[in-house]
Amino acid sequence: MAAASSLQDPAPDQAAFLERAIEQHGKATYNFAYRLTCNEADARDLTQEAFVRVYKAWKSFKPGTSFRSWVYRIVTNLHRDELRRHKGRYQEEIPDDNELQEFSGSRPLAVAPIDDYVDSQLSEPLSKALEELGSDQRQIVWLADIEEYSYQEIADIVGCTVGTVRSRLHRARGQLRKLVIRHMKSPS
Amino acid sequence: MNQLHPTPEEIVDYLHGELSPARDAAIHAHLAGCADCSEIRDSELSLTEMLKAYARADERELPAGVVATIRGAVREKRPSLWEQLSAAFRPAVAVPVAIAIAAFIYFGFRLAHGPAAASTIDASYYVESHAALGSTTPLSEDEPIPGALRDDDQAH
Repeated sequence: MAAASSLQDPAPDQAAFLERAIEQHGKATYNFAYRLTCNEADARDLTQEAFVRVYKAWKSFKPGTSFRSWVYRIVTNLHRDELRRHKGRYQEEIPDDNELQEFSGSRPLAVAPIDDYVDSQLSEPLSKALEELGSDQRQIVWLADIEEYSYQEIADIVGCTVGTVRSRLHRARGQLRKLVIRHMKSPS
Repeated sequence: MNQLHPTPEEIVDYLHGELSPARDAAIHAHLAGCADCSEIRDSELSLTEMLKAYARADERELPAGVVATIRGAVREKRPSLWEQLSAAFRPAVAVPVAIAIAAFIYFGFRLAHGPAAASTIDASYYVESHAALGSTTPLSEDEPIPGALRDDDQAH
């Protein structure tokens, strides 16, 4: 069987482009949308709307660039618009700038004992901790640590500077660490 | 505090490959000989590994209903023949086209008939006017004045 053609190849038409996009990036896009919203229904809506946008704007995709970055950017913008339209629909965001700066330039007195929990039942505390993280921070952690995007690529997806990506990532990791430990100590 | 120790933020950037080659090499060398910093590095690394393991375990399949909904929405967005025709005649297109047609007809007519008629009238008027002027005032400003008729001051 012939290998599936790539989105980098010229698509014969708009519909074929969409089908390839869904086939190659649909699952990742849905997972990304789910990490943003922590909610299946909203993740489905975001994914659907994102691919409809992909269909409409297919000619603006530049072959040779990353399609996944492009579709993630669409998802990010849609999610941001949705948050603005329905403020409070999603869980309340933890403000970026109101957190205690665990890593504020000085070295921590002791490394938080997260290593002790790595092999134990972490799924639930980590899931809760990720949900409690603001969606902006959760998104950065997801893109940097799980999808392994560079800071510059993340800045392009999110629409901010590399410096903002860096500071959000540091803050998010510190916050995540604290939340995981809190949920490990007092599971509810 | 030893100023040579990298900050925890720098260690995170190091683990993400976001430092300059020189700084990356310096931290790499430092970590090899510093137990405290290595401990921070290991802790940060374990957080990343934990996130990756969680993501793998919690990976979700794209629901079939999502694909069906996308296809349905896209089908609705494809314009029918009638929509394409009516789109061609929508005001945004029809008005400029009508203006362009009207302008073409108007200026086309002017080019075909207007300028020739106008130049004929102007030329005949000029000739007639010049002849009349010449017959009534033969020594007008435009004509050279014969020397015998000049004033003395002018003659000398």
